[in-house]
Amino acid sequence: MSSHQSSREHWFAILESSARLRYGPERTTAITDELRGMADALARLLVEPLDFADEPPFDLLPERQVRA
Amino acid sequence: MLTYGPTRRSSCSGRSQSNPTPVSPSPSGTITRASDAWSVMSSRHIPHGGTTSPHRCMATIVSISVSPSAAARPIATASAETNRRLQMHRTGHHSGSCPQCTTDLLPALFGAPSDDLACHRSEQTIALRVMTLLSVRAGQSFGRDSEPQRKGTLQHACRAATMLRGARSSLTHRKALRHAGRLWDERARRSSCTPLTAPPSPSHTRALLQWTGDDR
Repeated sequence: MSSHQSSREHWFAILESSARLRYGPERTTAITDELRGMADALARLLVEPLDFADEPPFDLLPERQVRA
Repeated sequence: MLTYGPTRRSSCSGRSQSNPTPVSPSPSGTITRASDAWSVMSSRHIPHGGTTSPHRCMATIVSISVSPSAAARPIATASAETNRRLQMHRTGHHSGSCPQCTTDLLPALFGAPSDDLACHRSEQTIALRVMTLLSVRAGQSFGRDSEPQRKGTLQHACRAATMLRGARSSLTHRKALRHAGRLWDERARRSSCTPLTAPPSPSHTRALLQWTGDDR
């Protein structure tokens, strides 16, 4: 197991213990699977090109317009 | 579309979802597995009195998980300097070291007092913190079918990170974080989605600043 994988598993173990304390052993496996999926999704998001052009630079209306 | 796990019913109108599959409710009838996971992520409970937190765990895992080979991919339309810095983040943080001072960076990403991070107030560090925190918050607010919102939120976080270019001051940092939080508050307000779980705080901006230790 590479050092990266080892580190990853170490941190997942901490999350798993959190899940176990919060929801008990029966649901921990499902929650841990979910967390792994989230981590993978986040990692994919971070390596995807973020296309700033698909939205206007600022989609926040000026505060005056929002209040109006 | 980026997804994780089985696709479930979308709570968003007008947003496409592939292969929608109903998810059975938990025995309580109200809590889904996804919201359980987000609950664990957002928990402040620290097992065994340790010094870490679920937030930091996930941030670290994500940081480790980002493939170095992907670092060569440019971020479309971002400035060359921003790309360079984010690529430094993507490569440099695998070793856990700050590219400027070689200090172990992972423990500093979350929870450390802001004033102790003067050297680490680099754009790439902020980008990771903001992206991870906002993504967690987006997941809490919108549930697991939140990819469009989450991706949009990450783009906002990147924009906020670009505001930090060349700046190291706490004031600028706060300004950028507030900017990201306001954008997200507005996005949530305008969204047609019904949040699957209520946000723990009415203000994402305030929560973001609290979570990053910048609410002082």
